[in-house]
Amino acid sequence: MKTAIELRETDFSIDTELEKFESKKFGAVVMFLGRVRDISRAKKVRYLELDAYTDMALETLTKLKKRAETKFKVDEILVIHRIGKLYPGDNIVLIMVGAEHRKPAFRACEFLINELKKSVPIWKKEVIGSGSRWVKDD
Amino acid sequence: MKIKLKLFAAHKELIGKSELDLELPERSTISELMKILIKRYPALDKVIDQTFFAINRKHAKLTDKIHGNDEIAMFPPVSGG
Repeated sequence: MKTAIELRETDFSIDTELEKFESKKFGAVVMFLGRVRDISRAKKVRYLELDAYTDMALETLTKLKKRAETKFKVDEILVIHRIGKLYPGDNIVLIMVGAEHRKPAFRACEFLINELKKSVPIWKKEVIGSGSRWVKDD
Repeated sequence: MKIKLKLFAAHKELIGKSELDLELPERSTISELMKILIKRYPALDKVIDQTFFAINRKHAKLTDKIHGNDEIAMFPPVSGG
């Protein structure tokens, strides 16, 4: 797969990305899609701004991908994370895992999103009304 | 030695720059860098317990030593996903 790990400002197409999981050996493809919520802490979200330490984020994601491949014996992993200005309903992150069976695919997908939230240097700022805050704990 | 410090997210806004050029004694540690930064930018003091550092794109400990030409970064807890 050419671009298994990617940070980008533009949106992605789930159908297009799914076409990369064309191998007939995948009995399961598990996907996590993170999107921008319209309400946060009971307030209406105008938009998010996502900042990233791009080089470190890509290196960290590549290491996580390798760890997940080894730990869960899954065959194919794709992670796309968007940066820049995103509005409620917009896609933020897509993780896809292809494997022969569903259990390792589910586990690898959950591992990847949990580790991404803990260690990959990407930050979200919520702009709510006239104020804003950098998200710390979601 | 001269180093470049990259800043991200809340820390970039707090200092008002995305990168700082700093002069440090040879073999300074991250902890020593932190003290120099707080002295120069007192506003950092209130977020220092929520501050992380990286050396050459790897998470760094306070005792880690900095070498010339290292890529140093300072940022708050991550919140992607």
